[in-house]
Amino acid sequence: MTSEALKDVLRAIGSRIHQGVEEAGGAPHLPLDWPELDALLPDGGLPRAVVELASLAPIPHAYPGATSLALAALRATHRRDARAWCAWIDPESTLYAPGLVQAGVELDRLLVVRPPPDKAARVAVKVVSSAAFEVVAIDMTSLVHASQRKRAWPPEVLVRKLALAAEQTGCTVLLLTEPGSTGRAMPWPVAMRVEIERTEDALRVRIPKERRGRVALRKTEVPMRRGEREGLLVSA
Amino acid sequence: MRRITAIVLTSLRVCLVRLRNPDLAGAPLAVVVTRHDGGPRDERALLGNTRLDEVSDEAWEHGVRPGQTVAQARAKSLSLRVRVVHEDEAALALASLAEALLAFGATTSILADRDALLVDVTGCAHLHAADAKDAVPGESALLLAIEQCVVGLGYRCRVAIADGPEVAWAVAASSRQSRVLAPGRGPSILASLPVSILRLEESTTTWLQKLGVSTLGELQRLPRASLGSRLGKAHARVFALLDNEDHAPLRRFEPREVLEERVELEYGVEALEPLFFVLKTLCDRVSARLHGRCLSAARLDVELKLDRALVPEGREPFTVLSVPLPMPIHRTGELLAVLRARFEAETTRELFPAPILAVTLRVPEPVARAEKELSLFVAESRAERSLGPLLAELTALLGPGAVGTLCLHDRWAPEERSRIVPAGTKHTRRSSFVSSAAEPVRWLPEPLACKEMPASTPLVRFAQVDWWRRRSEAEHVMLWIEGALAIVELEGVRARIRGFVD
Repeated sequence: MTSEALKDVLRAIGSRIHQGVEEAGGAPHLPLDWPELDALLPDGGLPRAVVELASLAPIPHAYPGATSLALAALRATHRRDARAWCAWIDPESTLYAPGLVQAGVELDRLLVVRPPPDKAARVAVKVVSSAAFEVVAIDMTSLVHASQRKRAWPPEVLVRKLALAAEQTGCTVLLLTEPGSTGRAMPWPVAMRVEIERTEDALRVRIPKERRGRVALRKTEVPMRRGEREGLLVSA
Repeated sequence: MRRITAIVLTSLRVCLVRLRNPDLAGAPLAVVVTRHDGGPRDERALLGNTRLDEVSDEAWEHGVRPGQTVAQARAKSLSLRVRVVHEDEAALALASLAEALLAFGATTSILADRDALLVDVTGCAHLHAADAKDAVPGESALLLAIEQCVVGLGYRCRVAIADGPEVAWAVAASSRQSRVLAPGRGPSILASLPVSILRLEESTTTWLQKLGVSTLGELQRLPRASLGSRLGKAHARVFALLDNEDHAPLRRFEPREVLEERVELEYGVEALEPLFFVLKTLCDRVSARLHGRCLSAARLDVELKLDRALVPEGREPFTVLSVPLPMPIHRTGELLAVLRARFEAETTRELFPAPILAVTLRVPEPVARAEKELSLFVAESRAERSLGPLLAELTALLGPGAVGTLCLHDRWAPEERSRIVPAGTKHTRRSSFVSSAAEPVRWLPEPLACKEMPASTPLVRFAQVDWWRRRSEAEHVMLWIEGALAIVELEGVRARIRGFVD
């Protein structure tokens, strides 16, 4: 078939033809399918960039609230696209399958990477740069401690590399932090910082930083989402 | 209509020497071929009266010719480098190229005595971009693709496409550059080719030249009866070519099961960066062969031959590194990234305690590549393209137990209910493995001690879990601690945090 004839065929079929790999990132924002939380976020969802989910509970390795929000992002991604993959960088090896299943996450499409802390930073950048994932969540505590022991990049350097990789690949990168991991010399170059506290049946959310200045400095209570979690936390 | 491509490799042995030592690129170079029945084993065994078998273009310009002795050649070119190549090396190189060229046609054949390869490209040209000048659409692009494939692997060649193998070879061997012969143009082109292309005995060629016969067209006009007796055993082959009867089938090349590429180094390699340079060459060749055979690698073996004189006592003079791949891969960049990650994860001193003299890259488990039909209306998934190479690289860097997906395990003990398995493992998700109470999303591998007994009321209590397999007085309670819903293990007066619900 000559090239002109091929062009005629393509024109006749119309806009249903896609050429090449699907566009990086798809939609510009990631809605969480959590109406109360989506209403609080600028643009109705998380940006395709680096977002810090700062849990304010002092207890280490727990990330209460931040984990809920990250799981909501994974669940929404898996539901929206049956072929989409997500990843979780878990240097502390704490992720637990029964809780993820109960939260509605598809285990078959969640890659879990458990690097030693001194390699975790490089692994995180490699995973985000691969362009294979829609959402990448990273437990930051041990990465920050490794950098404090001079065995890895400083956190602000890591966050900058992640931001550049996320911009190129259209991935949403979620950095889960806790108070013990945030002794920082300078602010991290994240697109958004969300501070979260967990109560019995709600999250208290505050957005002190957003790249375009659309902050929400007052704490807002967001009720815990009903649905998959058939248990004590879902109160009538 | 049959179409055959002939690839004639020029200065094959010179290219082999330059592939093993890139520093010799551009230098005047001569090669002595050592055979099974005798010849110098290496450069140290060369004598002044050893005859050269092949010379590079740079040496030719200095007046060095094949057949001269080493002493004669050095007199013409002081900077001449002379290297030894075993005859098997050329045979292996041709076999390796024949595999790579399977990407262009279903059948390849090796002409070992002529340093040439044949590819049956009948019906394959339309897969390449058509040019308006092509008699058979796509053949110009096909010719270029084949040439680029061979040159990309470090060799020099001339390529020709014609109606039969002998005509194609004759045109490729005598032309200055690659060309496509339109169907039916064989006889007219053959007439202009020199008689030296017939590969006759030297005495016969000299006799023909004395008669004033220098081209095949002039030979065609000679009486056959007298010519036949002079040509001897070669007369049938020559007459068939002159009569354009070029229908002999190709002797099919059968590739070996295990793919292996090897490089012998002139100088020992002691650092990782030069080793990666060598591995890049090997990955290029292995990738071309895998691509030609539509295979992918499920495992890579790298064998490093060490300098015996410097190997510490008790160590073998070789090291073998095996890299299993969670998902088969075949592209050069992916193979090299995996090997790089694997080598960087090891301690260099332990891996090769002595300089490396030879590197072998082996694919012991090639698997058929599962080709997926693309759709015009649904874009290809990003994960499908990128996940395989990433998994291979991460597994090589971190080990197989550190990368994968989580799965539910049919156990009661909390610490045994979740485990990590290789990505892509099929496992059945059973809802019965998940309880109706709130499940923790995090379980700590090392419990956290509670500074004091929590005062809040437990929401859930688990006791006597798995009692038939283990005796334990511990019980687990779920309660709020410092803003987190924790699973606390109580054993006597000791309280330890084991997990978190979120």
